[in-house]
Amino acid sequence: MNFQCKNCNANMIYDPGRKKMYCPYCDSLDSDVRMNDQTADISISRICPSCSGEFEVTEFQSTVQCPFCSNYIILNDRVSGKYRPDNIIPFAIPKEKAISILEYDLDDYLFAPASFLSKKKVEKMQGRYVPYFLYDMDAAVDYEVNATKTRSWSEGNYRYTEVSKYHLIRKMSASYDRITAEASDEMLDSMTESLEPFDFKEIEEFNPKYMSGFYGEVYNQPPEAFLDKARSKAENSIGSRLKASLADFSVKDTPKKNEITVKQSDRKYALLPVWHYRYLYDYRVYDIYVNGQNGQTAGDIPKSKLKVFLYGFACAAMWVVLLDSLFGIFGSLISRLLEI
Amino acid sequence: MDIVLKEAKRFVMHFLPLIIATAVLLLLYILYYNGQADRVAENGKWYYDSTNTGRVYGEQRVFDYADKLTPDEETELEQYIHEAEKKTILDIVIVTLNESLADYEPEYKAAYSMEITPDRYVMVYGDKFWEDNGFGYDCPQVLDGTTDTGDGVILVDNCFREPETGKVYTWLCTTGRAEVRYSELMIDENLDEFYVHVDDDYFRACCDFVDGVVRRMAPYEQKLPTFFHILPFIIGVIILVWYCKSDRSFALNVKRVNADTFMRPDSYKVSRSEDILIDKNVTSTYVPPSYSSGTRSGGGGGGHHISGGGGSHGGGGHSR
Repeated sequence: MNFQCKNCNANMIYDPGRKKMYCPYCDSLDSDVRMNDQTADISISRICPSCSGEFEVTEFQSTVQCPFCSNYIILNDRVSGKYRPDNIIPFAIPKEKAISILEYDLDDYLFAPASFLSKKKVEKMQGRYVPYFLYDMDAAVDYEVNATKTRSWSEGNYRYTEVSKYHLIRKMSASYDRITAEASDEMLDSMTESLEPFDFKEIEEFNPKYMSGFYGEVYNQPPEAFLDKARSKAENSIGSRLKASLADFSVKDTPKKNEITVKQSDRKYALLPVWHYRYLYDYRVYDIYVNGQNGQTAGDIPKSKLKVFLYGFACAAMWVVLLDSLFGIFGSLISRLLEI
Repeated sequence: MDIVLKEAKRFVMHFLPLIIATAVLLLLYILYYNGQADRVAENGKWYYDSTNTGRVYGEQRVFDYADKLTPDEETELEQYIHEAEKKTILDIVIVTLNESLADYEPEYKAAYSMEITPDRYVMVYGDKFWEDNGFGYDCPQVLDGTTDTGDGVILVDNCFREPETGKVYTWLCTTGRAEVRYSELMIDENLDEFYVHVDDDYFRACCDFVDGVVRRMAPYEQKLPTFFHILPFIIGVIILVWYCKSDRSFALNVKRVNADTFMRPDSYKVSRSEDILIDKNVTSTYVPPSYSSGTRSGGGGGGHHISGGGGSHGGGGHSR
């Protein structure tokens, strides 16, 4: 499917700045008509519904840009049936703002190559909807252990030490909403964790029009494959609460009871917005991401060897001059201090 | 071109504090260097010709009244001291005596605020000798109690054993810049150096004393350890290596989610939390009281005193 402007038949895209569908040709707003809504083709080779050009898609792509007419096409079979997302967080940050966020952050990274955020290169930044599973979970702890508590005090010329042995019993529970598990193999977990948290107050029922103008991807593995990842987040949370409740004690014994249960109560499949900028430098690929909802950044920024050397040389030279001047002015004082 | 300007601006902004500090220190150093313009650099060392024309004995610095040196040694020592004065910008005077100073200048002696014991007879002699004969590299000492004038040192070694104590006394008297510079410890060390060969080779003892003055009073260029000259370059190399060895890329990754990020508000419940006491054991240890010993304070200046003539001197003595 794709979205066409009913005024000029051009491809309409979702504009995060206006939060409306926008026609870049006639500037119409929300004049979109959903076209070619039939589900059919599931092959790798696809036909563009606008220009009839034939192109290929990868295994997990759900939205593509036609290489011939540049229209955005949402693949029906990748947003319906088992791949139909339950929810989506629409892009809230336009590309220009994502670029300015990166430029602002880059001020802290002196050694990034000069061309790193050149206009020509950064224009290739792409908006992507990344597949996530959102798990609701209930966790409970039933824990019993023997532990000691020690306190010391002084009285007169004596030092007293009191060692008390306790039997500790802890039963606690907590519920978790929308524990995220990113379902794309392409992005590293460390990257997605740096982009989180998303604000789920702005999550909406899935609507394919939000995907027009962006790239999309379906989950790469079934939901069960990500369950352990989400479960461990809940276990860590309740585990840290348990640990905090034992902080006053020294626990050396083996627990008599140690049951941590985590149960999934609900699960949703959602698409979350991320800006992706890929930069090639020194035979290596650097991926930088900007959260499309709140602008948080993640990724690796390359270093220019030439800049590192120039900065290092300049810094070293200034220190040499500075110290030489310092010793020149205060040399007699230093030598006197050394004699003392 | 825009990129070059932008990068240059970033460079300046990044190093701004260092650039300012370097520029200020460099400027101060240049001003300091130029401030010494009247001190002509001779063989790379600071030096200016003595401006004192009021010395009673002219260029003579060795007064061997006790005949401890041969005429050749006296000449050689004069030359040795002349070279040392170029390095230190001080008058360096050596006086040897062999007479009792118990009755020396009672009126002058009486003007001191301190009690003049036999070990200080040589001090009185040294102060008076310095003042009366107009010594001082910069000018004769102005007898107003300040340490601004009459730069130099005088060593008075009286080989006569004072009958009251049966000892031979030596005094190192410092004036002007030397008085400011010399601490009590430095005076002691300088006299120790003189005493090493005083009984077996008097000429050598005098040279050792002069060497000690040079070591302590020569401008820093001659005395600052070599380490301080190469230290800036070592630090520079370390900085350069540190820059070049740092990681190839920056990680922009800051983890912002924690274990509790996803916890539903108010869902955390503790249904049971009990600490049941099983056993308690108290032990006691005797701690003996501690006694602190008093601390000894030491220090003090370099033997500062006002002479009977009103001049400010430093100094200290040894006996043998």
